[in-house]
Amino acid sequence: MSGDSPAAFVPAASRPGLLARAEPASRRQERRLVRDVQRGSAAALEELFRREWPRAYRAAYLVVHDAAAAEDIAQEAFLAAVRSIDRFDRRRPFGPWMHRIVVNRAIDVTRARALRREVDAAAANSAEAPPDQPSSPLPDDVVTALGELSPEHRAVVVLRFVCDYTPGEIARALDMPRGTVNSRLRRALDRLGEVIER
Amino acid sequence: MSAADPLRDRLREQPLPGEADAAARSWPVVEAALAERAPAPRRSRVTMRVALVLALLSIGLATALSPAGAWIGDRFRDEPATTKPAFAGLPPGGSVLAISGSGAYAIRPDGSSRRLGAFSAAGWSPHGLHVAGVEGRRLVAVDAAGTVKWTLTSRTPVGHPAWSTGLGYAVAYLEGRSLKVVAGNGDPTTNRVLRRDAAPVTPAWRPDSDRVLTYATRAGALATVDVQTGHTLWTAPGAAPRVLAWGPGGRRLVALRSRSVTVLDGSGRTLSTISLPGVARAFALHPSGKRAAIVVGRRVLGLRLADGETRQLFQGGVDGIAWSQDGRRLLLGWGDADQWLLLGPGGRITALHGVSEELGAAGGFPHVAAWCCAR
Repeated sequence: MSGDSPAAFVPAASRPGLLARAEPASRRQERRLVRDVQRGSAAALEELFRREWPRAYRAAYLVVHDAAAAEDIAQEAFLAAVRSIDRFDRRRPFGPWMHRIVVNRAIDVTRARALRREVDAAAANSAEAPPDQPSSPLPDDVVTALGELSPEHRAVVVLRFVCDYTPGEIARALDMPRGTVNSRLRRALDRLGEVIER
Repeated sequence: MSAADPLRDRLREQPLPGEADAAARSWPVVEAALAERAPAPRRSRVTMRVALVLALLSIGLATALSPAGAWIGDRFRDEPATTKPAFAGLPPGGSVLAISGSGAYAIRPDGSSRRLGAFSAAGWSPHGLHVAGVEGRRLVAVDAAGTVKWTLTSRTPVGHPAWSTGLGYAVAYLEGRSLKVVAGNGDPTTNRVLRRDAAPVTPAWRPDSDRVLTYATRAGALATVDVQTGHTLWTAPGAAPRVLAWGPGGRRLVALRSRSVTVLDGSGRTLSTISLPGVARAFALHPSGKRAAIVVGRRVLGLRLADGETRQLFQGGVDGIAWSQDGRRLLLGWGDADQWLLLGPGGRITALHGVSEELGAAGGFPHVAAWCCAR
């Protein structure tokens, strides 16, 4: 396990169906994997990591739009999952539980950054140290346009279109009324639809 | 086709920067987290309860009825309690150097400890294979098992040893006001005075270097010298530093002063000075060189060097801090509670209890000096 080359974990996010919602057979397999991880199986954890990492990282990235922060968020979500795996109810699906952690954490990080940017702008004249290099922007218009929405809007879009949540599930995950989810989805679709049709 | 379908496709298929590298970096960390936790019991609760009741009944019957009952009772009373060593909670990936009143100790990731010598200060060699320690007038090199490799005795007390960070060819140390350097093999013919104006601050080798060394002068300045030629490469003025630390690649040098942190570039030009909300007592530069942990009064602060933003990591009387080599954990010595604390990702805290007792309580609380390299 530890000897695996990093290339072994190259995610293939563009493979059809990789990010699709888990089917019943897949759910049974997931339950087995969770049970084996609870018993300490590193092989089962590796399989779970392979299955869930691409979507966890993607969800985090699409909300925070920063590779380093997305890595931290996805990694922290996995660490949280491993540390509380003994208490995890296997009847519940693992993926959505993980995505909820990822997306909520990503919203927090984005909000904190926005706050910091306000402070930085005020202190810009006195700052002597060069800031960290920003991540290079993505060439894809949809992803760039997504970045122009608020973190809460981005989270709704990511949960709906990347994680396949229903509006009701999004409302519960983000602790907001279902009507708000629907209106945010509508607004996001209007905005992003313009970009797609260009 | 609605706008949702192409949107879904593009959000799912757009290649993202850093995705594969992030997975490769994160997997070992996640795997290590699994190794750290004890696996859940396999048997069901019902099975466990039945087994427990049967075991208790057997013991009770054996004790009450059999002639050997007394012996069984004694066995259970005399069996020593099995306890894990205090340091067993350390994660894999290197050994910790701790210094208490009874000397210096290497604490291995499996929780075992080895006394290295009666050192008052010590530092790891670049790959964690050896430790340079000072004991009165003696500079001593030992391996990680405590076997003495060489000893150099001076006329007056010595202190602040620092092993070079390249191939380990040199050890710098202070003897009074003199900054001295000796070869890493302890050859006394190589022992020489480099400067005679050194302040009592541990000098800092540039990363991956056996030649470039920065020290604090008595006048409060910083000076960087080439130890082979003896030439001064640059000097920088400023208030007396307490701790010096080079960032990776030698791109940044960080000097902790009493109430501020100064960041310099590799040629000694000051980039920024960050004020601290109190007197600094301990400092550890993160392996990335981008942030640091600082003990200010009874608080441990995380400091981002680019913009000076601080956040509180912990509150309590902390004595000594060190980052793990992968930079994901911060080890704190919390003397008030006789604990070492591991601050992990997401603010998770793991406590290692009874650390003084583990090393022999006579030495007092073990100060966290350094956390070195996975081998």
